[in-house]
Amino acid sequence: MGKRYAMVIDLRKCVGCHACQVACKSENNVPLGVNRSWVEELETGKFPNVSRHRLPRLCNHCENPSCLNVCPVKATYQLEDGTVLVDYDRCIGCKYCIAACPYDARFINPERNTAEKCTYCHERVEAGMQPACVNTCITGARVFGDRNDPNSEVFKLLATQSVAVSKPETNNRPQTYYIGADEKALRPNLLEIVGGEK
Amino acid sequence: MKTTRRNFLRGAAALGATMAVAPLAFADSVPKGVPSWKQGAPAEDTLDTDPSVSFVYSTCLGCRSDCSLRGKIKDGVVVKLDGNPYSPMTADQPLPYTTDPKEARKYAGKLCPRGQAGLQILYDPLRVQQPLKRVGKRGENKWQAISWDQAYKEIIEGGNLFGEGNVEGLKAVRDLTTPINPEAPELGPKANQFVFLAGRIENSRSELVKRFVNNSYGSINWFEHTTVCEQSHHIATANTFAGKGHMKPDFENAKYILNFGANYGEANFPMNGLSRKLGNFRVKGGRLTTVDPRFSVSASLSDEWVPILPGADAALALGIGQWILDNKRYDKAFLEVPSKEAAAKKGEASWSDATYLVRSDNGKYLRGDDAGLGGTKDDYVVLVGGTPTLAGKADAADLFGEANVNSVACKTVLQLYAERTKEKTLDEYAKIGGIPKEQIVRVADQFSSYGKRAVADFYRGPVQHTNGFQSGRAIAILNLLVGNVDHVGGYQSGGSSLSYMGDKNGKYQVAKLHPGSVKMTGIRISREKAKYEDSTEFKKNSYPAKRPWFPLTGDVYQEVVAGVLDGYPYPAKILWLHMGTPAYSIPGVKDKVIEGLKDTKKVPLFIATDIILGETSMFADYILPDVTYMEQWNALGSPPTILGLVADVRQPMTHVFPQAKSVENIFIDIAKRMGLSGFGDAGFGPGMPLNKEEDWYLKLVANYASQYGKIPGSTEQEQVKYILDRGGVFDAAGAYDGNLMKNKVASLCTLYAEKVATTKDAMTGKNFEGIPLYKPVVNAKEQEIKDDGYPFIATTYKQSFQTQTRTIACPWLTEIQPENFVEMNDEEGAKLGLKDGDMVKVSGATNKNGVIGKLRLRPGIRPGVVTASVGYGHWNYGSVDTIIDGKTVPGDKTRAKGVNINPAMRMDDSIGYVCLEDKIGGSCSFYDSRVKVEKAK
Amino acid sequence: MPTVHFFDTPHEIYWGLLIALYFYYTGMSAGSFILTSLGTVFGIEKYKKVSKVGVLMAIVLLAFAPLHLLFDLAQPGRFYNLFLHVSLTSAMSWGVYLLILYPVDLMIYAWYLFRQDFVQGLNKGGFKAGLYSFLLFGKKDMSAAALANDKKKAKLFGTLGVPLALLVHGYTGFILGNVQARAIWHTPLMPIIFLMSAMVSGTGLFIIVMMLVEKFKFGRIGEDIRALIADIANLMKWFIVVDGALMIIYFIVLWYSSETGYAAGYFLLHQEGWSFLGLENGLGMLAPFLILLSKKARQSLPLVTLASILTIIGVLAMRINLVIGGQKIPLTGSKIIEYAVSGRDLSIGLGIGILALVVLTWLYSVLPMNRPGAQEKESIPVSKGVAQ
Repeated sequence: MGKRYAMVIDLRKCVGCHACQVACKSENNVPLGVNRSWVEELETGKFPNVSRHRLPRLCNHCENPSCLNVCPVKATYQLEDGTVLVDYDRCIGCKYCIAACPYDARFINPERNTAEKCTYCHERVEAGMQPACVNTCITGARVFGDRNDPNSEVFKLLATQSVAVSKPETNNRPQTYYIGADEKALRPNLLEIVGGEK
Repeated sequence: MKTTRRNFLRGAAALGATMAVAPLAFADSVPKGVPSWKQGAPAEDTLDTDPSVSFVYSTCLGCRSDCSLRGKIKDGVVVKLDGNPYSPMTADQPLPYTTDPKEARKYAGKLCPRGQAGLQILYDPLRVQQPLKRVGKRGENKWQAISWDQAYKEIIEGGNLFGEGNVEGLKAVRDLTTPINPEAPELGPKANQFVFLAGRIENSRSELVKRFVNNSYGSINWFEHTTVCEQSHHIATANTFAGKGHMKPDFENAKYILNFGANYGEANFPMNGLSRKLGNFRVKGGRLTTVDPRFSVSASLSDEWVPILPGADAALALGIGQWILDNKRYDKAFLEVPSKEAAAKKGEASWSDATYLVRSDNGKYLRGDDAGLGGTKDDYVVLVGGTPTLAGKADAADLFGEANVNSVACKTVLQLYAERTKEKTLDEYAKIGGIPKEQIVRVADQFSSYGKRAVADFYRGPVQHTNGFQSGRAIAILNLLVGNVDHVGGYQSGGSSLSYMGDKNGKYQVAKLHPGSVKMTGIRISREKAKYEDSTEFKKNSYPAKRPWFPLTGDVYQEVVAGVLDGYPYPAKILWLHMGTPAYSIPGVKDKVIEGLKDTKKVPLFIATDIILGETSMFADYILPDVTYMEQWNALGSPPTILGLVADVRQPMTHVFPQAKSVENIFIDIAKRMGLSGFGDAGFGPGMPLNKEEDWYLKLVANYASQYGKIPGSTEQEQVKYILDRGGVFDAAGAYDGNLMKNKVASLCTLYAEKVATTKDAMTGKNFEGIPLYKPVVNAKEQEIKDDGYPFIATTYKQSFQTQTRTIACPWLTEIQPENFVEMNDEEGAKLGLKDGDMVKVSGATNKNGVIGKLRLRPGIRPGVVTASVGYGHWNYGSVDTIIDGKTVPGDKTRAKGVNINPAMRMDDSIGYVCLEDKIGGSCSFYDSRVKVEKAK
Repeated sequence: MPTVHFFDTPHEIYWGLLIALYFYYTGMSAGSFILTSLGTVFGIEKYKKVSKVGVLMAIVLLAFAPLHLLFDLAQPGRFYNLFLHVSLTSAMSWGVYLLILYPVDLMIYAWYLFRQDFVQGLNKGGFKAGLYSFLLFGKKDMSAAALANDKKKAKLFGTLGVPLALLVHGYTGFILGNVQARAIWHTPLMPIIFLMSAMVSGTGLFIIVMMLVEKFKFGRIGEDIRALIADIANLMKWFIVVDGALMIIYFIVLWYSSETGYAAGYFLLHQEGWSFLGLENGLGMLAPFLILLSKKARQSLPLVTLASILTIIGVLAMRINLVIGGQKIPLTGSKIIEYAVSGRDLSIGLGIGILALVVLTWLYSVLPMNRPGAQEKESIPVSKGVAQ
């Protein structure tokens, strides 16, 4: 099997510090107000039985990415290693990909005026380095690598741990795997959000 | 694929207006040729491996942790900050120290959000860019930009500087012979009326400034901020672990950690490395219990949360102690060992005083010479089978017991401790703590179920209380009960460092290289490290003193300010505030401090060194622009969480504003202008100049080389370069020594604090307690504070993406959470008719106006408690318009968002000018104030 | 269980008013064309009276529709990439060629409808004659064969136009319907709902336009037209019935679908209630339906006008509710995403609307709107038309 990049985020280690979020901004010069990666956190329960759950989010580099399918000019493309990228020279900024991504992973970069999202720090990975968020993750909760390489940390974690993805019901087949994720964090409680549940 | 050019950090772009105006305001100091982010900044595809980028290895100060830092520089612009891959501070598996820096480009260490956002502090357009002198009254925020020459001249010479009459300058105040008060000569000479107070001042920088203040200028009044942080933790730890002020669990090998109020994963430093170790600890199956009224990050990663009432930690710790004693779950073998030699036989490095006899008459240990056992005053006495014996002569002694020795009634320390723990029942402790008794039992059971691999850790939470020292001690002692000191997986004193000052065997013993050094004398304005009983005041008035004295601690930040404003024990003439903001950070006294600092009679000359117009520095007469931590030098060690050798270097990555000057260079300049000793062409001695900061720091780095001994290079210069190229000296290996840590306390550890027990409280004349106890909240006069009608206890904490100040200037951080909240238990809020998002007023007995913030209701706050994270609610720090040379520099309003809850906390109105405080450890009370919360009108 | 979210990472609604308007315009273009093709294509004689009015309206609406899209692009200068790179998996790409074929077909169709009148108008002299002469491209043959050919060709291109109209609007339904991420959009009914609501609003707008054209071109609304309007109003009633039925089916299935679907349904009933129930379905569908139930009402020009205006508003609300409302429900995070139309978008929307109106008015005033039963006497000044 060829190389297939994926990310495993071990939430047993995550302290919700947002280092990944800032590293991404810094590395990729992401403007304020938009994010390629961010961290959600919720607290739930009733005192004193309480829990907090964190969920770093980023582009899932899906196997069957909605964004890629809907792009009318094929500006979004996928490398053989699974990385989903945007050709910033071709993108017309129709925002269809943004509307279609189930993960809010995309936005229009107000500087460049094209659709944009996490690239897995493609240039860094090509040069043998880790994505900036993974590199800086202070607890090592973020792990990036070749899902198909039995020697990779990602492979080992996928092989030995119980993982979950966000919105498996979509046909996207997302490639960000969470260890220890909470269901409420993985999927917003829409009914509550729309006021149907107090 | 084309990518956009890297723009000036979005933060600066967001401040477009100020960007445009700020340089105009500083018209004569517009940086020429200083690259900013806007110019020539690289694209996102400029990789670390790109030869066009260079690296400077340095040390972070995004928070207090001092993580090892690496700046990536392209065309003179610092474009990214990462962790240093060589350092165990920022990597689990650091690169071998010998790795070529070219190879190291491919790797980067880890850095938290605060650290990475440092770029936005560095390039903050609202930084002070030139010396400023106030125009108009203090605090009006109107300034004129002046030259360094003028600034120095006026500060040194004084004169009618503001058209308000004569002001004495540094020269006039420096009188080393005339006493301040001839009737109380112990207060020292007039030179002591120059007071230097730092908020944060880093190691090695502090030594240089001390050199100036203490040994060149001759004032005894050099201070930093520690009591507003966690000083009682250090003092409690030092009084338990033979002077070691900071211990941490050996996270790699511990099995159970009982965390009292340390914000792992958020603030407890080194936040970065500690979080990493915590993650590994958990994944390996370590059990964590967190004691905190807030469901903190640490609590959320814990197996059990103990939502204790603030201030009740001592009750819980004593309850645990009682249960452990009752159930004989203590480490008998460790505790009964009375001496180093006996300990060594049992494979222990440290031993305890559990078996030592304490005299009931004077609170001292019974010594060999007063027991009639033929020993000396250095011998301790124990009971062996009820018979008094010299400690050195026993391999094991009685843990419990009492005896009359030479007609002095004595008890063993453990006996005293046991009696103390039994003064209250577990039910009573549970009631004080607001937690179920079963939880105390469960925690005690678990804590004592892992042998020496269970650790009771604590930090700020339990100690920033009026009873902070005793609470800290009560917790620290739990470690002695399970005998984990120095053990792998136990409580340990951390890695090692190298003495940058070269004190022992360094090439340059810098402190000694001070020809003409002045010996400082007198009483510090904070009355610390001195006994009231030695003062003229005591002879005249006896007890109580006008204000507390602090013989057992130091750097009593709030009392420096209070001393200055209260003119006690003597008035100050010049206050130099460096990188500090007492009005923002000291609880309960914001208005008092501001009012006092505005009073030119109380503070005739007020100088501040700061990178920005801070909440307190804005009231100064002069603001001298300091450089940021990315533009300065330092030599530092590491906190004890990190094992192995860490000797960090901080070195400049750039220098953004040409007129900004490091505080080192400022004091060097002043010393030379005043002709003071220890600075100038022969500052270190003939042929050894101290004319610029590098003269100082390169010697310190050379000391690293000479002590480490393994730095390649034939010349000092080569060796220094080798170290600077890696940002310090690191050696992760060799943390362990069999079952023990390599670095050990290896000393007598004490359940009984003899020094404390034999020291009197200047406010009551009574001795402090040598065995920790639970005490309710009291003021300086030991009157209990009840504050009926104020049903909540106010607390604070720190989030992972803010620190007290600095970080509010970072849009990358403020966009994570633009404002903080007044946080309250959700059910309790609902009962009060409050809704999430309401604006609420938090007020207290001494601040009826209170503070206003947005309410957040959450289940993870203990009922009866409100909390707000720190770092928000700024009234300056660039958030307001500033007038410089008649032109307005618009403020960035986003920096004023949120609430600073400190001012709503309680002032100690029995003495004024301060918050409630811990008279032993000196700490400010942050978690004792009772407040009420109501909907803001 | 009480759940508190600590950080609100902002997400915006990227498809706003302009996209809703784009769908709205293409819909009305398709709707009005299909309605008015009944005469030419399906041979229903009375509808031949309105073929010309309808086709001009369809052309202009369609010509202006993509402008919304263009102005919504973050990189409008790169719109040509749509033609250079076809993506078969993208419904948006499908539309690119339809958006060209359809108006071209309509123009050819229109040309055959108008050719005879152009020739007749040549003698009017002045600007119009010049314009007609130019538009004739030299084809001035007025022989019976040529006229028969006009009819034949009109029927041919009109017939071609019907499926194109269905596609050009139906594809927009796929644009939303294909997005599985958003429950409000993701239904197979979406293309049909779009078409039926387009028929409703296209008809509504057409009735109003036709009345204005009749009034200003021929001075009055004749009995024949009144009868036709009553007829069209009756059709509109049935369009509303079908559209309403589809909405009910759509909503019922949404309500009983996944959690996200149910939440979306709840959202439409509650948060969006005034717009979804009130504006879109109450005022925009139920009210005109009730009006049009009565034969008397259908014969009353004011009431038919009222019903038409209501449908136009209702379908606009429907487009906005679907396009924007569909994005208000968050995919991640914890909050409804609020939408506030930007001043820029609002100005562009209004600007395009006014421009379309001006162009349409101008076309109606300069082109010969002769129809069976009514011949132009003199032209109406353009300025007056605009003023209306």
